Amino acid sequence: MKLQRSSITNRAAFFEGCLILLAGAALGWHALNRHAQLARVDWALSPYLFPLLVSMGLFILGILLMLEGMKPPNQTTKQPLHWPTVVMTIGCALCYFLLMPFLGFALATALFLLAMLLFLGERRVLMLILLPLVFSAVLYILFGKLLHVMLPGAPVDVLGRAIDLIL
Amino acid sequence: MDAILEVLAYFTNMRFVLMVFSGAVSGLLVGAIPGLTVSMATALLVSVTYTWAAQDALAMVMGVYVVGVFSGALSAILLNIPGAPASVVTTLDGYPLARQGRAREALRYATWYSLIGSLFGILMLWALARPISAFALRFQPMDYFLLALFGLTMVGALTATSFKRGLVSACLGLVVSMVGLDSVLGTPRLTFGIQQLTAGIHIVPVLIGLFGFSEVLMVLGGQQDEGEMARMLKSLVKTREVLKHWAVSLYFSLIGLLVGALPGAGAPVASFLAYGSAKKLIKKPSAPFGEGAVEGIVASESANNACIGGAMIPMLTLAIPGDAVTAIMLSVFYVHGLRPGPLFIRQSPELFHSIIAAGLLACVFLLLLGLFVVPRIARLITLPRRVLMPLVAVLCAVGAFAGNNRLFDVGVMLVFGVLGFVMRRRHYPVAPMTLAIVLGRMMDEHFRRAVSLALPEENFVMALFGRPITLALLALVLIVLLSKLPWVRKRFKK
Repeated sequence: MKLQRSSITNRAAFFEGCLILLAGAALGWHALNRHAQLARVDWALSPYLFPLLVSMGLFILGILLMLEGMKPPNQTTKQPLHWPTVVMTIGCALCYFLLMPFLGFALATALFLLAMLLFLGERRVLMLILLPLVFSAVLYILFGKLLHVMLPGAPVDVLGRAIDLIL
Repeated sequence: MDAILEVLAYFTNMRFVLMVFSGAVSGLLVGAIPGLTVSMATALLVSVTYTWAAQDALAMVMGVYVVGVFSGALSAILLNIPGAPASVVTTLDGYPLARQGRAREALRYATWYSLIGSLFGILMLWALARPISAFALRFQPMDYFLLALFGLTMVGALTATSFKRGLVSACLGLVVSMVGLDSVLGTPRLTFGIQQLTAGIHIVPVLIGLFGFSEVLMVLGGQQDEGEMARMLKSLVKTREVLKHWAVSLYFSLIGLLVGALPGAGAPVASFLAYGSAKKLIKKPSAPFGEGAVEGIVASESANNACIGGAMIPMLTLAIPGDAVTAIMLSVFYVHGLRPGPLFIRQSPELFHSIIAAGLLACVFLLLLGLFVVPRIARLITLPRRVLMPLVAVLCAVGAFAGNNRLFDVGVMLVFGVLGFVMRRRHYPVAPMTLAIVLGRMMDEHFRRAVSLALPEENFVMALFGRPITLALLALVLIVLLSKLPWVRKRFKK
């Protein structure tokens, strides 16, 4: 059982090494290719000199990581992770980002907070209503009105419009 | 004398005092609440203070930094959960003391010795910054490149369980720093035809993603306990009794200052080293170490707070940040069009004095908040994470957006948040990446300048590395790299 576990961890390290090696190779190829396209620019002044250096570093580190993947892993305590929560949080944040131009900042923020609170197990109705509304209103006033940040607006952003009317 | 008067003049500037105070209160809350970090708060502050005067922005950041590092001790003592990595060592003796009903006493020790550590660090910054800047004026382009490289290798060596992973993180940061228009020829580099990338990847959303959103994912996915609050009984310990360790605390502060000045080591390493030396130095502690010895709190808190001044010395004089927070602070300078480095103190003495004044004022607020406010707000730090983290996620989004008023930056923040989360889960530290993003452009420029200056010379290698400073820096980089080779380590162990 122990042997099986260690081989899985090694595979992860080996896979990471492969990725880093590929990234280094791709960056190096890109740097050489783009430098060749520049008309009569010496390597000393080339914008691709430093990327080439970094690509070499990545390439070597990738090989070293792959070699590490072939050795038995160090005994490290693995922290437990609740993947559904992480995936859901990223999903909610992505929706928040994508919907913000269509819903406006205040409404999108309130909906994101409501969704997150519900998902994370908050069941107090007052909290579910007040926290998203008050927090998005405070941020809207602080950033939009006081700090003059041009927050995304939309015709359907009733919350933002209500705050504008009150102010 | 003029400098002292100039610093003291800031104490009468009410606007300035208010800025430091606001920062101190924010730092108190951010540092004390587990899951919120000083780096995260500083990164968010960069976006808020974008339009402010540089002096106001730095005053607030200093307030957050000084009090934020101290207030990590609050949850370390009361909940056995360090509010910040710097306070991990404080839990060893702070929590056992709190379990004995002496939480208030432990907090008093933490407050006074955080004050001593912070004051020591800031006064040393004041005293040492000028001579170091004068020395740094002799640096050539290659020296700057090697100094930055030394910083990156040190961060890689000290922040990661595996040196290779630290270096991978630094290399990825360098790649990110190269995106955008090249500063020498003006040609777009690594933009892949994406219009928004032509101006480069803005540092603020990257930092907010790496430190803010990744922390949200770590906390929500981590299923950590909320912690059990220790009881707060009235303390009978007198201030004179608390302060009797002041002399030994200066030694711990010196450890903190030196460790803080090394790029990458930072407060967690300093407090571990100070705690280790306290165990050797103090033969008869008040209780065995690890079971409620106040000397443990003295060592940890003096050292981690002295790191603040230590980390700011290379940041202000050489533009090489000492830790993640100073790396973010460096971006505050850049955002306001300022250039830290050897000429900074000569060209902007008023700003340097304002930083010192803000640091000293923050120390005053640290004492006042620590003695009078901390015992009363203890309940606040148990705010449930299911409520706190969504609010932090929204702050990350609005903070990323505010800098440039671009929704694209929110996307950048999310990408780097997920990247930071994956890196931390796979034991790749994010601090080397941050440092590399901040230093990458400078390294690129100086390296190319050094190579082009050396090319026409007869002996290319001597022209690049022939100066004593360059050789010393090259030796430092090689020592760090070689000391991590397995066969070298084995030989030294033997």
